[in-house]
Amino acid sequence: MTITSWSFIAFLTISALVFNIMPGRWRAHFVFPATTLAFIFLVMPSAAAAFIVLGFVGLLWISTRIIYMWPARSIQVAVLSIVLLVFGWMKAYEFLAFLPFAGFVPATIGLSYMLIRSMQLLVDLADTPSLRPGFLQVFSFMTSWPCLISGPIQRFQDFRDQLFSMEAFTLNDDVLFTAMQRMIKGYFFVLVLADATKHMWLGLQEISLANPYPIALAGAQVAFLVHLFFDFSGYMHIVIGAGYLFGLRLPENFDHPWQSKSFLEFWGRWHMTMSNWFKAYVFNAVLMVLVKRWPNAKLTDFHGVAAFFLTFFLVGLWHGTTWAFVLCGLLLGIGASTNQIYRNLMRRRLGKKRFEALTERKWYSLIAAALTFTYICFSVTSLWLSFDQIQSVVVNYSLSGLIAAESVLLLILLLSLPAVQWWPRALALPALRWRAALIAGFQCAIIDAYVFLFPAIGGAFFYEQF
Amino acid sequence: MTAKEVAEWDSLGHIRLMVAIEQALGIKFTTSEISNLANVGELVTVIDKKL
Repeated sequence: MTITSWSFIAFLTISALVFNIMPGRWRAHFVFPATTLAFIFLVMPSAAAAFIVLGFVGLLWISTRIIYMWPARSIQVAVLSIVLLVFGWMKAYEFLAFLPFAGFVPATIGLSYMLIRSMQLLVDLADTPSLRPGFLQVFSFMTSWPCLISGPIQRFQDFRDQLFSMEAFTLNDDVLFTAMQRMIKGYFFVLVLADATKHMWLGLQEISLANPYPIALAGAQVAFLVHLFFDFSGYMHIVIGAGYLFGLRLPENFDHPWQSKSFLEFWGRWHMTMSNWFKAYVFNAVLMVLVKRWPNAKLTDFHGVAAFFLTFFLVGLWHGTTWAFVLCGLLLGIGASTNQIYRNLMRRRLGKKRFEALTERKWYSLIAAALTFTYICFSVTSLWLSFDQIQSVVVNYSLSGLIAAESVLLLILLLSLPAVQWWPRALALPALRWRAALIAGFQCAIIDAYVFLFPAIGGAFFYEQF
Repeated sequence: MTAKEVAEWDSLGHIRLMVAIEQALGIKFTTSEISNLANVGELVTVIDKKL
């Protein structure tokens, strides 16, 4: 089952009906966990994979018990290390290939997101033992079906509050309307816009790999990022809308990423729940260690650059299991730390207020945005090319060909970004119900026409593989 | 008062302040507290609870 299949629509309809018909007290303790269990077996590629996911939940449950019963720092570190190692082994990371039975575990979906949720719960539990979750809470949180495949990443504390409020939830007209509006928008993004851009990206990718053709390579890079945006943000609209039917208010994951004027701003607008998680549990933690170890205020800039590099290196590594993602992590780390060095230099030279005033100027923001997206397109190349393909591109294009491709990409962005950034501002009309209904109807009509014209659409979400 | 109202405030300054408070008062902030403090009032409340 995929989120774009009729079987998912059937699953959602039946689950939402049962959930809302059942007495409130049964919802959090029985109906929602039952729908999640059913979802796991429907969505995983095999029954074995479903049991693997349940096994990982079991490991986390045992880990929470150990941390609660033995709150010593050494025990906490040991438990977190074991969970990380088991995750690395289950995901079959190439650099953990030396472990016994590496690659033995069947492929699953959503394990990286489960790891992030488990780390958040274990770290917060170590800090706050009163958090002490019950088994059903751990199970529902770890496998909550709207978040299972690709997020959004919700904190345990926020999820538990919503679990408690399920009893009093009432599905009224307004909630149903908002849910449908979000889901239709999501399906429009995924089935039409993501699919159309996927065809463009794959076509340009084929051309760019067959011969050294910088324009095709630049086009493939930008088409991939646009496809990823519609695919991933569309998925978010669908699950956030579906969550409404169960009283869940999932956190938003996108905030107009195309308006970004710097690499660091981009990551504050794209996959925001992941960025917030890495900021809270990696960046801040690394920075605290550095500041405590070397408290000299003159080293503050160095601390920031080092913390940004390590954090974004891990962001890249988290996205995949192959050496290509190590490369992706290095490129993301270089991008983040370079951005921080530039910010430090400019703030020192101009002061924070004058630097911010400069970033508001149109010419500056356009050039900064175009450079930002050129680098982002370049740094995520390993999400769509294997390590061997990247090597072959480097050899075939040589340095001059690659510079030409990135220059074309920069030019494309300089020409297209003003329109892309203006579009949402132009469409920011008052949220009237009739207008929303009209737009949703229009989107349904386009989906229908697109499916009729191009029936072989669909496929897995890009982020499912993580 | 929030971070946005202080011109020179940034995430690095925030962490330096947290570390300075921890060392001066002999307390320890949780990961969640460090990330979710929204203003000076909340910071004071958290410190009061720990003292």
